[in-house]
Amino acid sequence: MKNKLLPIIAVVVVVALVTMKSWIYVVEEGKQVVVTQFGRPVVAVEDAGLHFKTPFVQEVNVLEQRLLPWDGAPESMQTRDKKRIDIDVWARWHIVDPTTFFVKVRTERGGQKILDDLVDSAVRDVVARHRLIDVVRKSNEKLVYEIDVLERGDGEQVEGNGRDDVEKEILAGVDLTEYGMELVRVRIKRVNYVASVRQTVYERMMSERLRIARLYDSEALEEQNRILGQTQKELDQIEGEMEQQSAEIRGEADAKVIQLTAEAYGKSPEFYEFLRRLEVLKTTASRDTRLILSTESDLFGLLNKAEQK
Amino acid sequence: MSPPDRFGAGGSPFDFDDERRAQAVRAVRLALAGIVILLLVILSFTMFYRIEASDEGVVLRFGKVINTVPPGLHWKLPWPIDSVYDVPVQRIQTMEFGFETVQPGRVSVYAKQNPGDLEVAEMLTGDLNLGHVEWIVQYRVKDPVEFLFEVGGSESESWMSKYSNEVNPSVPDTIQDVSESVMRKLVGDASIDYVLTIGRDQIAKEAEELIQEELDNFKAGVDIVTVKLQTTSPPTEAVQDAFQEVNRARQKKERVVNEAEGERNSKIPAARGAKDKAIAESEGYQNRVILTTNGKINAFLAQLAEYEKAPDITRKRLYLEAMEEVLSQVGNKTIIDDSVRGVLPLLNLNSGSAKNLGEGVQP
Repeated sequence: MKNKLLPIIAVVVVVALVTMKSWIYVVEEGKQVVVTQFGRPVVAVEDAGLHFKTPFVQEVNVLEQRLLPWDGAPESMQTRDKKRIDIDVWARWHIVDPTTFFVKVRTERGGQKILDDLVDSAVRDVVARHRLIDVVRKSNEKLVYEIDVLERGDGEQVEGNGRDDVEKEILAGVDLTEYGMELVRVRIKRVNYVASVRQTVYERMMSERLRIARLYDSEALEEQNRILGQTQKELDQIEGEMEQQSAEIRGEADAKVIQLTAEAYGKSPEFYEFLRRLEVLKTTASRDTRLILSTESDLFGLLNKAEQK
Repeated sequence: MSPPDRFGAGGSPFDFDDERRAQAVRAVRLALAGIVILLLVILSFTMFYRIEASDEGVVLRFGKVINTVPPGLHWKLPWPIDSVYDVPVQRIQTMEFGFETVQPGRVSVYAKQNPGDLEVAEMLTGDLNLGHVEWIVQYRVKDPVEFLFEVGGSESESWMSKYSNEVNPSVPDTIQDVSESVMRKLVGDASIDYVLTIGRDQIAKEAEELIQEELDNFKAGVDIVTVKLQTTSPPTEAVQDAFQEVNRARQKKERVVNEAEGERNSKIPAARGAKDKAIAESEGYQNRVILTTNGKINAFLAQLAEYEKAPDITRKRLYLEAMEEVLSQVGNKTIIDDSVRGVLPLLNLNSGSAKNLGEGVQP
């Protein structure tokens, strides 16, 4: 009995091992599987692990369960305010209904192709509805500048949440349910002016900066003149005070002298006069003086005259 | 089970004499033993594995995650039952945006800026200017299972990805996309000045948060370690020169103002000093003249007091003494008799002296 059964078991095992691939399959983490029977989907398996199928008649088709990328090519388009921009968006999507996806799209690459068509047109639609500022900015927060001259009180106001809204509108504008796909996120990767406009932007930036440079130059002169003018004013004030005060002090001194001398000499004006005359006589005469004395007005005559007084 | 079966199956067709048959059986057994040992050796190679110190291992059984293991030597069931992914969880990876380090080192070598990098770096600011922003993002795997199995799509085109040496190149590709859109969004909501100077740190900080948030939504299993802005500059050299011109003008303004202040500082104290000097001199003058006057007055009063005691003789004495002094000083004396008149015209050689004489004589 035992001897008869052993070979049969052995044969079964060998056959099972050899044909293992046709009735066992593995779903790896992050993948999902659509089992088809003669090309018709029978079951979708999303759980990772070991699974069984009917050998030979059923086929296993592996699909991604993970988040999948999509990166559009940069496209040139026009905003509502007629600005031509290059815009580059990316998206992330995944396969939510593997059976539908397998029937209608089949491959990841097919999914990318669908996104190429749908996202691109959604981006065009949404961008055409918004102004450039709404695509670029995400809030109305005040722009901060290092140079306060540049601060603009009220620039263009952003509608709603600007870029965040644009991205949401693009996302909402793409419906992938019929393909068994779901768009998880659309983001604007790059926005820029088209190449031909960039040069004029550079020029505008340059002229703006040069304007500020000139402003600084003239402010420098303004400040310099103000300081120097103020300096001159203070100098004049100081020097004026100086002259005033010294004149006052000197005048006071001279007045005092006048007062004192008048008081003192007033006691005997003629004696003062006499002394002063003698003084003048002394100081007038010098070595080079030629003195001519008349006999009539000689020392005696003068003495007599003095005597008479 | 299978090797003995095969031996049994293979053994039966032989039909030799007993000895040869036994020999053949021994040889086959030997060969089989060898095959089994060889199989076991090969199997053991697929059963033992080592996880590097900076890594974490993710063990899958029939494709399903059953375990994560720390660094060290481990064993598993042989292929195709168990498989292991080695995920570098400690290693910090750096991604560069807008520039490329060709050869890192003490003096790193950077690639010449190619059009692709310029495209990455050039972005619109909130005031619709253009800026050139280069930055780096550093990340680390924080959840190896999420890292491996939540974000995909790059395998099919992994030869296109810059990160094809990664365990899951889809994740860095995603980080790249997210970083670019986040950085542009932040720069797009700031002024060019904010991007170039004052706001750099703030932008990097916010970018780190936003990138992390988006990647967490995607369950990418990574931790953004840091985001740092590198070069931020105006878009072209000509524009850069214009920005430089502003700096130059600003510095010149500061210099001119400083010089003016300097001039003011050198002049005002000097003037105040001069003022104090003049006032002190005036006060000195005041003191001096009053003292001098007092001296003279006192002298006069003293003289007067004595004079009043004997006025006549004092007068005479003073006059004579003065005359004596005068006459002794004068070098040229002429005494003329009143009757001699014709001399005067001849003397008109020095009219100045004649004048002096007249004054001196008259009193």
